[in-house]
Amino acid sequence: MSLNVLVVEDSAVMRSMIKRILDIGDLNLNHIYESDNGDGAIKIIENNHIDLVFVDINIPVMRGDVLIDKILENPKNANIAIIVVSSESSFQMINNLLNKGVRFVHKPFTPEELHNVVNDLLSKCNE
Amino acid sequence: MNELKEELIEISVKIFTDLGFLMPVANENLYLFNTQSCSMVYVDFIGQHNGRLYVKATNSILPVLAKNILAEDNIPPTNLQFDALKEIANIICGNILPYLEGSNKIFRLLTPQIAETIDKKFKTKRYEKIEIDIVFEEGATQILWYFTK
Repeated sequence: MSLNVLVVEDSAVMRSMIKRILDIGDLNLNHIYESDNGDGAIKIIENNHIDLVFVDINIPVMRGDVLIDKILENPKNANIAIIVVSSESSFQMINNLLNKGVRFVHKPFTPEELHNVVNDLLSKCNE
Repeated sequence: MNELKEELIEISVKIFTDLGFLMPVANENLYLFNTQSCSMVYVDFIGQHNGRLYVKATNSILPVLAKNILAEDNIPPTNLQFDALKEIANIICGNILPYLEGSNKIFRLLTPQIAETIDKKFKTKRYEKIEIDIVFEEGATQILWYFTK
């Protein structure tokens, strides 16, 4: 299966870094969409088939946690896998996110950490 | 306060090293702040304590930082160089706040911004200040962390 990925991150540098890490991995990528805010991300999801979303929490217009709620509340998005990539370090906040069924990658991260989470998540989705 | 300062040093060095591949050296190059032009960014945070974390860097660091983070062969454009410094500030702030707030508290970071000067309001008695300097071969950085008492 070739994947459509959406990277939602206000930092252009971090978006490029995530894209580069995905490119050098063994994922079968079809297209990587980008948005620097939550509102733009919703529009991309509405108009495209997305398999995997990377979300930062502290993004403008619509915070990442609100974006995740919006994605999850739509049954059409039931098969979208979500990975939060954030410097968020509050256990309370991280637990709240994990309870929604998303994965969490803490910044700063290594390419291996990101790959491991992606591969683990996708293998579970394919089970 | 000393423990917070030690944590801030440890976290900041780790982030500059892991993300930007910049290796700290002895603080003998601090004079660079007086001889080189500098740039500064900040991140505001809201929680039990409110405040701001500034990251100031000599301009010599910015192209190296962005180039290393992006794993580019060429020097990235200026907007990406500032974006790299903003992201460093964002990550330092997100990682240090649990040591101030407690890891079971929820806090919020706002979008990083470019700063010209330190806002006067942070120089009042309402705010605590922790300041650290980290020097790299490529230049010097200073982190100024202000938070309500």
